[in-house]
Amino acid sequence: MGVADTQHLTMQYRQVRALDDLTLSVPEGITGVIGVNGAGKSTLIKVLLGLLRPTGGAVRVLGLDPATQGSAIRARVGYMPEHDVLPADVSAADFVMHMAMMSGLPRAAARERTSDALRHVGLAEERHRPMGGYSTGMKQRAKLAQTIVHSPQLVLLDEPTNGLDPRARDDMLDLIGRIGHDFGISVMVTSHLLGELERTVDHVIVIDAGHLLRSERTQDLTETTGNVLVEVLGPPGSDQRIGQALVERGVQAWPVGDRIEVRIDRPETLDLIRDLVAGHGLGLVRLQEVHHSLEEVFAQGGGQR
Amino acid sequence: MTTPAGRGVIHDIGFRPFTGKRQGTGAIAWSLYLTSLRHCFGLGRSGKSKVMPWLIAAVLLVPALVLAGLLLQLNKMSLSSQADLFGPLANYFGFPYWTQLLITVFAAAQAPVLFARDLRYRTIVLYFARPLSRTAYVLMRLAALTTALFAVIAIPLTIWYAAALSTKVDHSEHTKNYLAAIVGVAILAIVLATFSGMVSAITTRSGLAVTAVIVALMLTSGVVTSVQGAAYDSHHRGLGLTAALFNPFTVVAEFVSGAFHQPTPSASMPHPGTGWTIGYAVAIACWAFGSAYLLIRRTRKAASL
Repeated sequence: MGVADTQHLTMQYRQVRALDDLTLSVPEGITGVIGVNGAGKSTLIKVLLGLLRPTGGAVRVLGLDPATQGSAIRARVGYMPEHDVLPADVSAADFVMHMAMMSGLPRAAARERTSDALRHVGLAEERHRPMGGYSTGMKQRAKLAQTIVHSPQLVLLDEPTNGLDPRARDDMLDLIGRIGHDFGISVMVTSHLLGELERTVDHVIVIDAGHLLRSERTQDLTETTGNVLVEVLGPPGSDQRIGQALVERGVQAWPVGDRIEVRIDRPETLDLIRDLVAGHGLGLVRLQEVHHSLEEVFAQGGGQR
Repeated sequence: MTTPAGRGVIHDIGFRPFTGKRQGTGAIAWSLYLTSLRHCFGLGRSGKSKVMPWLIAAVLLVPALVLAGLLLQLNKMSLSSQADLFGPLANYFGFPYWTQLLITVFAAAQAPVLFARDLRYRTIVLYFARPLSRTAYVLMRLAALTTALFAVIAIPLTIWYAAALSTKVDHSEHTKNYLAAIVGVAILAIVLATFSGMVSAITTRSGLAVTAVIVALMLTSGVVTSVQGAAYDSHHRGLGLTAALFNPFTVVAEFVSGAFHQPTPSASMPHPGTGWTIGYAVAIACWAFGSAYLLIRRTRKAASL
């Protein structure tokens, strides 16, 4: 059993069926829940928090039932909503401490842990300024701080990278990685972008229109393709010459930008590449295994249920 | 996972989970009540936000101090036996009635702090993702605003009463009127808190909420007073009694007058009989519970993301 499990979970709104017979298990570690907007990710989070009562099926979070023990679950779960939730006229330090006390921490512990949480997310002197003046990246950090301040066992992060520039997004993903792997807090993070979670999450769950599409370990999904990427150093056109030479020797090879992707059927093919490059008097810069990216995996097999 | 430099790595002593005992929902509710009460007086908020509540609290002291001074002066001149001639000296519930503009401004300025901000910034979502139930959250906020309103009215009343006790006026009459007024102030505080809280939660923007509360209370007060004046002149007792239902100050004043055999704060306000007193009790319940119902419904709905 994982940190959160659902069985035949159904959530029927008046017009829309947001979750439809959804059975999944969120294991310990970092789990990415992927789906397009409207796939039911936010509804799933609200059900897990006990804020919405499902119309059918069973749910367990940390071994508890959200319908009857929602309060106990919410004391031990952290939630970071997708949209802006920070009051503009309060400092991050005051706000996070208040939120810690709202989770049941005594005052002294709340103060100490607020300082810890803000340090972990990387908010320094600006923690004493009103949050209305924060950049999007800083706001996301403050939101993350209130998510972890009460030392939860599980955090639910709804689209935490939305609206961030690439640099801030990488920082946020690093932070999520630390929370899941170094802090020992299980993480369930949602995104509508497959690729960006790839290097951070241990497990991927894909939902679409309230259905479960796939649930697998990231490593199993992104197994090696059996191809290698070759990059050579030399005068312009060197890559084409090497590619041509490989094809002439009966090896499948094709250009990928200014590199060559080569199909490796036998280990000797690798030696052949090395010898050819050396024979042409070129430098071998890169000889890299090609993994499937998540996006490719789902482009191929996303439709199977 | 490695941490890029410049993020306080040297001081990073890792994540320390909270191992102490978490407080129950009762303690969390108490903590929310205390924080909300402090916020009503600008404590823990910006310096600017302290001006309004403390200014009003100070100005409300003035009439009470003047009345207390009059009592002491009459005592010095050995005229206490004549104090009955000065009707207002024993008419304690006249105080909140005649200072209703100040009390309205206090309620209008502080209700949005507790009820509009969380909705406007959607911080409400973070509260609801924590152990406290949605209804408990609203009730704690209401209790805090009620306490604040009660305090700013009851403290001047009590100073006035203490001055009366130190003189040779009829202590039993003053005690009876004072206790009746305190009950009335408590009821008035509840009605004003729920009504202004409801208006704030519906308007959401605090500037708009302030205006809406003031307009709603002052406009009805003005209409009620002029209708009562006209009714008094034309001896339409029933019309004057009916008009009182439509404003919190007049409805509570009529109730206190009828239930505790008190003089009404103004000559144009008719003194109600038993039937009308029961009617006023029902009307007060409608004002309070109706507003509270709308407030809770609105808050729960706004938090459904």
